[in-house]
Amino acid sequence: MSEFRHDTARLALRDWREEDWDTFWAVTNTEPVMRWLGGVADAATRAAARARLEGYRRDHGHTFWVVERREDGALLGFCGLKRSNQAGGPQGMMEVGWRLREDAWGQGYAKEAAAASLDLAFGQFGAHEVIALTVMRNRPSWGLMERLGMERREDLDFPSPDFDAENPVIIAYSITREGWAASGLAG
Amino acid sequence: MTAPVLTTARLVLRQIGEDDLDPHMTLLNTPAVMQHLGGVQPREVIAAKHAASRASFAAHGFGFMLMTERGSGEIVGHCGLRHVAHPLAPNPEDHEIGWVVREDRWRRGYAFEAMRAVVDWGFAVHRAPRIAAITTQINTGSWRLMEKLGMIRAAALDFNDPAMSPTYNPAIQYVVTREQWARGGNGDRRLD
Repeated sequence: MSEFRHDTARLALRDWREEDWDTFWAVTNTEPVMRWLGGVADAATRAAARARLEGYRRDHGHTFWVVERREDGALLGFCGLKRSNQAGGPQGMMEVGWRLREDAWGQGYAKEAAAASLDLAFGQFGAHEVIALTVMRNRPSWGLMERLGMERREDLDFPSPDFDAENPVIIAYSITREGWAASGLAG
Repeated sequence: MTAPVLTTARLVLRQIGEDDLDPHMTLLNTPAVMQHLGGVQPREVIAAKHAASRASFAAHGFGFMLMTERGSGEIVGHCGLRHVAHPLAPNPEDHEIGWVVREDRWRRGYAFEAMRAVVDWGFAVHRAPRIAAITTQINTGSWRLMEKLGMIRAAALDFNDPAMSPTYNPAIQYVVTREQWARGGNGDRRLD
């Protein structure tokens, strides 16, 4: 299959290449980035994550793609679309997610990449609704969900001890095709 | 009280002790819980299940357990991992998971929480190549949970059990392999 690539003003969302993985883990498998994602990932966890992301691409045509800065080709992290499969949570819904290296935070990259992913979800991939998942204490994460126009969906929350032992719940947000069209952010 | 085997957010799964037969009879061997499992069973049948679980633990290090609530300490279910137990099943080499939950604890996600831990344990600790689960078509809640666990319908393994009424035949099976589980599957996942 031909390589997927979608350009935004500053970024490219593109398929994974063999050589991306070492870089990806080097820049994102850090305490700050993994703070609310179960902590720094060991080798088995990294291998399983890679297998899942490659599997999503193969099975659905989309995944959490590489986020590359166009200006210098730097790999900033991932952002994209999967079908929700977190144990205990809603299964099979279109889900947007992102994870960027710490030195790329605070510059609007995640919003730019996530907005592009939502455009792709509702356009190319035919979604009617897209969800996003995080934990309550990951304020930057759900803050961005809100800035994207996503709405809190307590009915989709589910217990999970894996990310925040003090508040062991994964919380959900969602946005509909109509909501995205009305957000003023749609491309 | 026997030692915990597996602990989840809300549950402890522990081995079955000699004192557990009475509470099992009272709390779990009820018409609602046993509806799809041949109905309420005589005391000797439950005692034999407990004995088989203890023998399985002694021989293999796994078996069926009692599911207890961490908050209350109460027994709320019976579940675990064993080699396929039904003599008519065509896959005696497989591992099998099974569960029941006390009726007043239904709809809380206890079975999913427990069985996710049991499947992890089966693959990671006991090196099961494949894990099966056996149910019936009319037991919708049961096979829905199998699907939620990422198990896949394996019609080639279905079999008839002449001891059960036609309503409960055939017995149908779901399976998940180690690779499928690792791929998530429902393995270790960081919201990715």
